Amino acid sequence: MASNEALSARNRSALDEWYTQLVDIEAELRHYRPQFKGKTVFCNCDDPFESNFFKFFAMNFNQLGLRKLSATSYAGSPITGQQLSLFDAAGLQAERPRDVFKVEISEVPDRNDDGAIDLSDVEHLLRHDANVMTPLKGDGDFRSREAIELLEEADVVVTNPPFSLFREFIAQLIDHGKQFLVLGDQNAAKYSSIFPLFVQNKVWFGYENGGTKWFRVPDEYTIKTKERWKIEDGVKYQSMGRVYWYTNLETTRRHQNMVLYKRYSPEEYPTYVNYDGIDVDRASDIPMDYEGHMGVPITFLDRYNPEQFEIVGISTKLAEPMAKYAEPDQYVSAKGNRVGGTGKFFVPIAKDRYRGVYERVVIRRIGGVS
Amino acid sequence: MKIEPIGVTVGEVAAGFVDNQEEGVVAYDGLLNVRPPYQREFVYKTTQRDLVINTIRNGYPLNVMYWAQNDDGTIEVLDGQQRTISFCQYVAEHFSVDVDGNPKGFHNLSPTQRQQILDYELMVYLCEGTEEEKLAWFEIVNIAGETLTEQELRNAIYTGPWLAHAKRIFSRPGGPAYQLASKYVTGSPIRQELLEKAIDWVSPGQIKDYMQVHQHDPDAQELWDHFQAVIDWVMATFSVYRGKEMKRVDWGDLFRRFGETEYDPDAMEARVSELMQDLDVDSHPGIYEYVLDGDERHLKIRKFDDRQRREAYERQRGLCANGDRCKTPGNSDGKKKFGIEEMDADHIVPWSKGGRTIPENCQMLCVACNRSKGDF
Ligand SMILES: C[S@@+](CC[C@H](N)C(=O)[O-])C[C@H]1O[C@@H](n2cnc3c(N)ncnc32)[C@H](O)[C@@H]1O
Repeated sequence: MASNEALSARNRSALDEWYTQLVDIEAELRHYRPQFKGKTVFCNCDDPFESNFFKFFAMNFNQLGLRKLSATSYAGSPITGQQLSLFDAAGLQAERPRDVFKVEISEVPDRNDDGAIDLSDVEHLLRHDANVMTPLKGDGDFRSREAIELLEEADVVVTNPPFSLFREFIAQLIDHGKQFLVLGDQNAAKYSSIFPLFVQNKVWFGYENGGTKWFRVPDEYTIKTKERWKIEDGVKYQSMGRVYWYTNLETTRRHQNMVLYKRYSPEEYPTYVNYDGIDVDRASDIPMDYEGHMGVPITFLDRYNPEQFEIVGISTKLAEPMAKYAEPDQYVSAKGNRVGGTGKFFVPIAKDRYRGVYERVVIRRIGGVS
Repeated sequence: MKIEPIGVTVGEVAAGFVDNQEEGVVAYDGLLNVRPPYQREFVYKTTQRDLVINTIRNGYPLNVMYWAQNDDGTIEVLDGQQRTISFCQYVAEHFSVDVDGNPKGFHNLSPTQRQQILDYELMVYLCEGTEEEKLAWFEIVNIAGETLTEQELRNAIYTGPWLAHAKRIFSRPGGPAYQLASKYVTGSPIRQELLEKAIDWVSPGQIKDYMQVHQHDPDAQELWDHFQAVIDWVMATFSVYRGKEMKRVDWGDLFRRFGETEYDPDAMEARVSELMQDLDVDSHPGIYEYVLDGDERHLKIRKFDDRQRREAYERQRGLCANGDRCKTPGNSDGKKKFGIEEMDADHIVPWSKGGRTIPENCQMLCVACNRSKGDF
């Protein structure tokens, strides 16, 4: 197959090769098990031979009661050398195809007759059932016609898509009206194409977002910070904080009220100069008795319950230009440097002096003071 | 007191396993409180978790676990929380373990393998007795890998509506007590340190007795009222906030001694602020105690350093500054030469009369003289 093509694609998205660990997938997926019954699951951007997403759904196929599982590999993945082949690691020998391919499974019978159904039965399927693994004509891009056909057939998409294409990836899922549970950088919630989805309650965060997750990476990935990489059993891992689960599957978490204890006082919650609202610098400090608009850090989204709060917007869109309110040398960053006066809320810090605050989500309480 | 081994299997315990996150974890048809609400979640590594499953699969013994029988028929897991959660989660398909190089969830095992796990006999000791007896005993056997703090042990014994209510207030991360008081006290809610402090304040110092007396109260309102009264009093008395210093003050004790008195916050603040600026005051948290009880020792007034001591010693040529009034026997003429280590540095004008810790105000007294000075 066209290895030149593969190589250039690989360079393009070099930093997209982060492979999710089975423990992280299991920890999140345990919250949704009943929601998968009878569903068709599609793992795209997800070479079945390298990915724990495919592995998870394959080994839980019967237990979850899936109707069908499909997965596609991508020409840009570092398949040469198979350094990430998880089936090898599992001591299984199914030979991977050299080309880009798709896998489709609609039943996992006990082929090897050991009374248990597990990954070795999946391997058996891959090896012996000609209908299960098929080469793709294109490169396996999630935007390709072949991938979209599988997408249309699917109910739920579960994967860790390339971070560099996250906007496009989510947009595609929304356009096709699909359910999904995918990993992404917390920062992506601020993107102008993603944030409105939170506002409209079309996307929210899943459960296991705190802490640091470790991802398996190709050997040639390097990173300076010592604490952020490790090698275990000859396999290289890098850590990333801020990797969150994005979903539109139901969660109990998003129906839990944040418990609020703070009371509003003008000293503790300064009012913005260039927007009619107050600044709250930690989500847990949201005052329980304030009726108006409040600016909170983006981390609020992890605690957001649409029955408790309404999201009004984001500071980058809502802030009025500071030029209307002050001279340019009167507004500064937290460190005291002069800054631009647009797309940011400012609070007074002294007479004729204003400090810009970090991005804020603007919210308002639903219902009266409790 | 009865301590009896009871026969239970993994399958029996794992039945009815529900993980309500913050609201606690139950198993054994809901009878067993594996992790009570707002108890600390021990960070249990996946390797330890997997080890529990492998131990069971191999039929090796897991260490003994201890359960405590409550009066209402429910049971607390005293020791063995993590092991219990591990096998319950495994049976509930929350994770997989590596079996011969192949990850397997519970359902991926063969029927025989599954049955082997469910039939595995746990070594559990069930303890019945008075709360006092149970506590005394658990303090002795608190040897587990998941060592409980003293307050966590007490929480496991004195269960009931009083404790449940108290935990809602004091043990929730970000809960009411934390919100109210985290600016004035240290202590983690989830590790039960805030609760411990609150009981310590109200009892005072008699945590166990207090819990015993109130165990069957319908709620913990008295505890909460007292805690709020302490914090309100602190806020009313000391109007200017100084986090680092204030968090190190034992407010419960000060409230007990001075909580009845009303102070003028402006006058208090003026004194506190003045003392904060005083370079000779070494203990800033001590200032709060000092302005209430006037005991100078709380302030840890700065001592003369080695250079200053040496300088005064040389200046006096090793003689005691009290001269012929020296208290050392046989030194009535004041001519005795002391070694520097036989002398103490002393403020000529005491700090309370405006004397500073500066060379001009330093004199060396022999130990006998200095001690008798302190006696005044
Ligand atoms: C973050 S990795 C995650 C891999 C795998 N899903 C997992 O979690 O273990 C993203 C994967 O998407 C692949 N990829 C990059 N661009 C793609 C595209 N346009 N279409 C489909 N897959 C793509 C990358 O090669 C990479 O394997």
